[in-house]
Amino acid sequence: MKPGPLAFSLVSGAVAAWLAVACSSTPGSTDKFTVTGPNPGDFSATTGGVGPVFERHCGSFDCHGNPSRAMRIYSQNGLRLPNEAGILPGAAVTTPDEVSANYRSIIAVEPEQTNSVTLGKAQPDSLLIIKKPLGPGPGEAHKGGTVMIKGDDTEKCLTGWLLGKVDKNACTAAAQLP
Amino acid sequence: MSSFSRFAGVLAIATFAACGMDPVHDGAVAAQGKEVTGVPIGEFHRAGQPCVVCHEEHGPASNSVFSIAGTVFAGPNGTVGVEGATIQMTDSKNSKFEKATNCVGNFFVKPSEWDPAFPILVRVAKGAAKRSMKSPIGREPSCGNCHARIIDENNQYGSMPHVYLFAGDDPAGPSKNCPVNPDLGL
Repeated sequence: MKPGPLAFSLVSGAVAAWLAVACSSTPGSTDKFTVTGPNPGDFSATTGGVGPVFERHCGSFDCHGNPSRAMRIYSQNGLRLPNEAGILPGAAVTTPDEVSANYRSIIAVEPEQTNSVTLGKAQPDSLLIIKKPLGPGPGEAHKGGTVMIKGDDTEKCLTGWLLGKVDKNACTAAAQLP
Repeated sequence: MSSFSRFAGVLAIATFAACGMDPVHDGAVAAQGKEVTGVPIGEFHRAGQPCVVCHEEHGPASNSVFSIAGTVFAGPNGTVGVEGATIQMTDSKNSKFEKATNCVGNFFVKPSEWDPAFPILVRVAKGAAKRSMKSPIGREPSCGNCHARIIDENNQYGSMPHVYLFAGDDPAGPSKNCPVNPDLGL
């Protein structure tokens, strides 16, 4: 008896499914990608650090201080990392765990491209963390609008950090409310 | 009618229906609950709630859109509205605008009055009492979306308490001529 069209379709489907599974196997240990991020010490520095600039400009509850958003930012006056110490919004300064989580969150936006910038193979303005706050025109559409202008303290702070030459004075100024 | 025409008709209706629905926004509106008995719909209703959930272009109060709105309470404990507090706002283009609260503590700004370029900085003042927000408002037009009336285990890490001006009661006391009770009693 010759197989009918239904049997042929079932066999074809099963083969296709098997090939799909086989071709998407677990990556091997040599497939790991290590990101060389910008200096974490400059990010977490208590004086002239880059972290407070992200907290000040990005971390309000209605923007990136929100668990549902990409590039989640924790801060003293915004979202808090769940903790057992009873630290709530508006209370203690941003904790080391929160600073570390913020750093990872920022790098995780575009790990490979961030790596390229840090290694000098691409320019800082190729990154979303620069393009988005610049907004449409010089940068890219951003739901939060334009929150940074080319040449201002915030832009100097972020690009300097990405290039390994952080401008601590610019970062200090950018972290302040006017 | 051909099957293609029928299919096209169904597809057009489904597309129209789907484009008119926003289940997230619908859920946010529903979460505000019903009106409080004895408080008519108007400038005194729903104190402390996130006003612009409804008072926006696609909301059920789209006939009265607000660019910024909220409520100022007297102290951190209790929910007595402050009358005559001034909300002082500055936007990212350095445009400034002030608005006073009514007798239940509500205030609202219509786009025809001021249409700010976010982010904005906010200070609340009454007499010698002043409180400034320590962070800018990125783009949220409702105070009540970040300043929750109830803080519990569900929102404790992502919300601030309601907006308040004094450490305790308003020295001037609650409004005596308000058409509704300025104390929500929560």
